[in-house]
Amino acid sequence: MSATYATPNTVAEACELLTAPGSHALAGGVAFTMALTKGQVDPASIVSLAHIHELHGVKGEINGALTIGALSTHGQLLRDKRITAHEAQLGEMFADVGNVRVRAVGTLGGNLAYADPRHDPAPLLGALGASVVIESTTARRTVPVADFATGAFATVLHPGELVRSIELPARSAETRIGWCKLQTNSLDDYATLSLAVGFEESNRRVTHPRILVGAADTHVRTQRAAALLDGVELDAVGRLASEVIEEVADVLAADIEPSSNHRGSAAYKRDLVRVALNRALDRTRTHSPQAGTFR
Amino acid sequence: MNSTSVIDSQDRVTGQALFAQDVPADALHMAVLRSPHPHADIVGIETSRAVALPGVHAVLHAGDIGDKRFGRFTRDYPVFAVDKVVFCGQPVAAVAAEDLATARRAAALITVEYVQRPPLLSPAEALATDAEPIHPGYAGYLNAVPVRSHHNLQGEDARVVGEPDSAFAECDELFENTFTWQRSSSAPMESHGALVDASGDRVIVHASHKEPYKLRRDLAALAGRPEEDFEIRPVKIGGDFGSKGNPFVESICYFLSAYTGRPVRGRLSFAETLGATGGRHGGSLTLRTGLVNGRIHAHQSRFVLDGGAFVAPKPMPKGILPMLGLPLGAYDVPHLDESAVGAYTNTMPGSHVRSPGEFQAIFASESHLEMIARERGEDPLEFKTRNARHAISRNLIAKVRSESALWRRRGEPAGNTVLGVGYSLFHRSAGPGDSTVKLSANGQRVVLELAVPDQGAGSFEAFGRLVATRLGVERSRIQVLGRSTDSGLVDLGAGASRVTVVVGRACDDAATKLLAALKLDAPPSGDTTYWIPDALQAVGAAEIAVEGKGSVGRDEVEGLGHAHGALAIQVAVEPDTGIVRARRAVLAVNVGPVLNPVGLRGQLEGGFIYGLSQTLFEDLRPQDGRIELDSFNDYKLASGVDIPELALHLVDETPLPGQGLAGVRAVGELVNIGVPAALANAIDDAVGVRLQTLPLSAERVLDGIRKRASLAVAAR
Repeated sequence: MSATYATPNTVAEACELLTAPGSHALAGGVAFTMALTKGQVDPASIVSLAHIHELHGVKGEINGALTIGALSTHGQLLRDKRITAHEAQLGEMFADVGNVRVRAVGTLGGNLAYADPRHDPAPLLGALGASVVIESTTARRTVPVADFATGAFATVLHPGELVRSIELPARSAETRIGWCKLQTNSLDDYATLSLAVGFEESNRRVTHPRILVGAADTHVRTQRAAALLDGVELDAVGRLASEVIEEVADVLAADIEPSSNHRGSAAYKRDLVRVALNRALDRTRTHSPQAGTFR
Repeated sequence: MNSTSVIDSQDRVTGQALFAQDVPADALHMAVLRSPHPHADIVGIETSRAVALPGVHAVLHAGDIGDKRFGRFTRDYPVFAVDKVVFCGQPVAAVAAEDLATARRAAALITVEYVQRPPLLSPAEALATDAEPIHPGYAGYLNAVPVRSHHNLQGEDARVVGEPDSAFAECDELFENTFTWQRSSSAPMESHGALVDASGDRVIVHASHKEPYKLRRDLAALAGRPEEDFEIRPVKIGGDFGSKGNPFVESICYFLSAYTGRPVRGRLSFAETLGATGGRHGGSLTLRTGLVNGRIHAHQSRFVLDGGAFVAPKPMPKGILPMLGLPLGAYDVPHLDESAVGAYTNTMPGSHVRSPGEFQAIFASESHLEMIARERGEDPLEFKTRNARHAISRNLIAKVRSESALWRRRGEPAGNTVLGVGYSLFHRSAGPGDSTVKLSANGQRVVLELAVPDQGAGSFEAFGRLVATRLGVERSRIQVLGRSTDSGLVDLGAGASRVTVVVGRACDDAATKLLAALKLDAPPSGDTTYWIPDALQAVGAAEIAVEGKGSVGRDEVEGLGHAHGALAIQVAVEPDTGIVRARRAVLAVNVGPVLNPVGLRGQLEGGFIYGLSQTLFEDLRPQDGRIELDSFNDYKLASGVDIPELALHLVDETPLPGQGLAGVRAVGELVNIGVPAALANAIDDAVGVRLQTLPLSAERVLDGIRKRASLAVAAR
C-alpha cells in the first residue's frame, strides 16, 4: 500500500479530493483500519476529515430537531443530554456500540457510511425518521437513514460525496419507538440480530409504521411487514393484538435474509426476529431505558 | 495490590517490554502462500512473476529447500508442502521482500497448480477402512509411531485397571453418554512471529516461542547445522496458551534469511493464527459408568480425537494427547477400561490449547456424573462427594456448596430470564521437565538468570519472590533476567503447567547453594536489610555465582500431587432466545503453598475467563475444512462485560516449606477445565436442557427448550 494522505479544512475541499479514484474518507478510522489490516481496501488516497470543524458537534434547532455532525463519536452522543432527551433508547444504543475504545473514536457518519449491516445505529435512527445529509462539490441532498444503505457495505453515496450530518426530526408527542438488540455471543460482540420499530399513534391507531432490522441484511426487506401495521388498533395501554404481532413476525421472518454463521443459523435468526419484534413493540409503550437488551 | 507485584508487569503495561516484533533490524519481510484446499496434489509451482516483482529478494518452496519436516516429537510437518497439501492453510511457498505489502503482493503472484483430492474432514471419514492415506510417506518420518492399527491414525492409547468386563456385569445401574466439542484456538494476543538473522556465521533468532532450547534443536535439524550455530535470544511473549511451541514462522524465516543473507522478519496475521497454526483437538468422548449400591464400580471411556493434518504440535511419543485417567480422575473407580484414538484428518493440526485434553474430558465426565445423579433422583453434589477419591475433593465441594447455598436456582425467574446453578470438580497435574538457573550475588544485588521464557503468566515475578524469601532479602534486591540459549543453562520451555514446579525447584536449589557458598544454612533471621555484603566479606569474595537445577521426571509427576478445584456458577437463561449469561461464580481451590498471591489470582481468574469463553463463545467452525473467521473481531473472546463476579477461596492452604518446594502445585491450566461442565449443569438446572456439545451456544439451548416443550405437549 502506498497512499497519499490529505487533511482538508472544509467540506468542499474534502469533496473535491474524494472525486479522485481510489480515494477514501477517514473519519474515526475504526472500520477503515480494520479493512486496511485485512487488505479489504487498498486506497490510493486517504482524506482525513478530522480538521473539518463543520462536521463536529450536535446542533439543536428551534423546532426540536437535532443536527448531528458526521464526526460525532458514539461516546459523545451517548453523553449528550439533548440526544437522550430526544429518545432515551438512543443513549442506550450508543452506549452499546462496540466497546469503550470503539465508542471513543468511532463516528456516527463513518458508521453509517461503512454500512456494516451488523452495526447498531442505523435501525434505531431509521425508526426515528432520521435522514443523512450528503454533500458534494456541486450539491447537497438528504436521504432517509432507512434508504441510505442499499446493501451490506453499500450505500447511495457517489464518489465525491460526503456524509455531512444526520438530521433527527423534531419529536412529536405521538411518536412511538422501540429498539431491541440481541447478542448471543460476547456482550462486546456485534448484534446477532437487532430491530427497531417506530410509528405515530393517532386516535389509538398505528400510522406511518417502520421496521428496521439490523445484523440480518438491509432494511428494505422489512417494508412488507411494516405495512401490515398501518392502521392497526392499539389497546388502552398501547398494545397491539397478539395475532397482528404474530402475522408481522411471520412476514419479517420470511422476508429477511440473514446468513448462517458462528452467531447462529439463519433459521435461529428468524426465530430471534420474532423475539426482537415483541420486545421492541413492548418498548414502544414506555420511555423507561430498561429491558430490550440483556444485561 | 502488593507493591512488589508490579515489577514483572511494569514493562508490559508501559509498553517497554521487548517482543520479537520490537527488535530493531534492517530486515526483509516474510509472506506465506498457503494452500486454499484441504487435500490436493501439487502439480506445479510457477514463481517467475513473484520473483520479478521489484523489492522481492527470495521466493522459496519445497523445490528449493527439499523435504524438511519438524515436529515436537514425530516430525511430519514440512516447512513447505511436498508434492501434496493436507490442510487448508498449509504453507506452500514464501516470499522475502523489502516490505510486507510487496511480500504479500508477490506471494499472490505465485501460481500453484493443484489437483484436488476428496478431503477427509472427520475421524470417522479418515478411519474408514478404505480411506486413502493422508500421509503415504508416514513410515519414513522421524519418530513415527512404529505400529498403528490404521494408516490414518496419529496414535492410540488404552489401559485397563482391575477387571472391567466382569465388573460391568456386576453393576445394578448402567449409564452411557456421548459428548462432543468444537475446534477452538489458543488465540494469543500477540500472533506468532520471529526475526531470524542467518546472514552471519551464527544464526540469531528472536521469536515468540515458549521453548527456546527446543527451537534451537528444531532449527538446527532443519538447517542441517550444529545447534551451537544458533542463538535464541529472550524476548517477552504476548501470550501462548498452547500453540507457541512450534517453529511455524521461525523455520520459514530461517530459510529465507539463509537464502538472502539478510535478516527476515515474519509475523502471522490473525487470520493465519486462527486458521493455520493449531487448534484444540475436536472430537468426542463416550462414557459408560456402572454403579453397585450407588457407588461407581466400573467405568469405560472412549475418546476419538481429530488430530488434524499433522501430529507435529504434540510432543507425545504415542502421537496422541494423554487422555487416559482424566475423565473420572478425582473419583474412586475400582475397574477401568479406557481408550483413545487420534486421527489424521484434512483439517488444521490439533495443538495444545489451554490444557490440551482436560477441558474436554472434565466437561464430559462432570456432566456425565451430574446426569447419573439426576437420573437417580439424587443430589449431584451428594453423589460426587460419596464417590470422591480424596478428602480434599469433599472439602472443596463442601466449600462451594455452602458459599452458593443461598443462590436462586431451579428455573426461578429473574426479569426475562430464569436462573440455574451448576457445579464441577476438577484437578490438574504438572508436566515433567528440567531447567537450570544461575544465581549470583554481589554487594548491591542478587541476579537470577532464567532459561525459561516469560510467556506472560507472571512466572518471573514468582521466582523473584521465591528467591527473595529464601535469601531473606527484599524483592527489590533481586533482578530477574531471561537469558539466551548461549547462557549454558537448559530448559524444556513453558507449558504443561510445569514452570512453577520445575523452575521453582531450580531457584530453590540455587538459593540453597548460594547460602552454602556463603557458609550459611539460613539467612540471618528477623532483619530484611541487605545482609549479603557482610557475608561476602566474611568468605572473602566480591561476588558469588551458583547454578541451580530443577527437574521433574515423567515417573515423578503423579507423586507431586494435583492442584484441585471446585466451581459453582449461577447462570441466567433467556427462555425465548436461549441466551446464557453467567451471573456469579464461586471457585474453591487447593493449590499448596502460594509463591505470589497476586500472580496466583491472575492465573485462577484468567483460567475462569478462558473457560467461560471457550464454553460459550469460541468456535473456529471449519466449513468444508476452511476456517473463515479471520480476526478477533469475529472470533470473540469473553471480555470484561461477560465476566461475572467471581469469589475465590483457598482451601487447606499450606505454608511454603523452609526448604524445597514440596506441595507447590500447578495452577495455569487448573480452572478453565472446570468451567464447561459447571455451565452445562447450571443450564440444565435453569431450563432442564442437557447439552452434550460444546460450545453451549444460545441456539443449542433454544433448540433444547423447544424439544422439551414439544415433548411436554406430546405427553399430554
